[in-house]
Amino acid sequence: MPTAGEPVSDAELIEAWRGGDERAASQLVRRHAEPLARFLSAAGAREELEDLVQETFFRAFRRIEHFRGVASFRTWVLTIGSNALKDVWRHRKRRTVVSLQGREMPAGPSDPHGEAAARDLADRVGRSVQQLPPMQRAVFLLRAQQGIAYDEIAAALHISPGAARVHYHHAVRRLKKLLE
Amino acid sequence: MKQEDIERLAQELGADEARKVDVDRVANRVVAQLGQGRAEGRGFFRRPIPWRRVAGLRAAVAAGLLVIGGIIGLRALRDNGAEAELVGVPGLQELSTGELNVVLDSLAFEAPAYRLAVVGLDDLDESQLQQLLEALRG
Repeated sequence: MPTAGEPVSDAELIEAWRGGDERAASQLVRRHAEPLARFLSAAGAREELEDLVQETFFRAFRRIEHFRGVASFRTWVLTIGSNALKDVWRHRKRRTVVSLQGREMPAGPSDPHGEAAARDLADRVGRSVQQLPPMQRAVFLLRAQQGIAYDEIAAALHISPGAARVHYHHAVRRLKKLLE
Repeated sequence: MKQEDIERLAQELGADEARKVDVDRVANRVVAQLGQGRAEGRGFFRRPIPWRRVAGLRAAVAAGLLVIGGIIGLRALRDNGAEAELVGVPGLQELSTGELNVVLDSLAFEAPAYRLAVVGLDDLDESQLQQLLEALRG
């Protein structure tokens, strides 16, 4: 692994991990776990969030030879997380009939009225995002939440940048409709 | 609600939940899990894939889809009015046929049968193919 104290790129850490350095894997996890958790939570992950983050990184490192650097490591991990979440849902569908859409807010201390209203609005947006079709949801979150460029989204999702824009356009339109 | 407001709120989605994730614990677990995989010699390192079985399933599903996929898909599309939704979308003319199919698929998401017709069979694993076959039989 490169010398401590120097800013280390993801590419260098990946190379170090490929060379057997476990600290490199650990550092990559620490660097990208929080954005991944936000992405997965917004996409609908619930109590399984931490396990899902773990599973996503495990899958990513296990398939690291497929990482070509066309998209960034973070974008690549986010798309793997998206697939892992789909697997959780598939598994859950087979076992239970619990609704995935009824998201309950945890009980918290009483908020001032404005803050409660803002929370309610954010919650409505969150629920609406989860009602988007999978591809629209992925593109919307990668773009709006993670700030990733269309070109990179396109590379990660194996679509063209034009298709990414179209999905985003439809996602926003559908969200507007759902939030009316 | 305006697009800017939706995008602003989207940036904050999941932030509270993400803060509850113990990143150090996750990192330690991932490293331990990877180390275990390496030690057991099944690192990158999946179980052998039963190719013949998967190929057989794929062929069976393909045959089923050929018969009913198109009919159901077209009906689902028509019922959902998805084609009408595409009118006036910027950038649409740049898309390939495959990409248009994906867009149409996402518009017709309430109709799972249509989706079956556009998802590539090569993308499905054995259990998914099994499910698909069961769905076709049903």
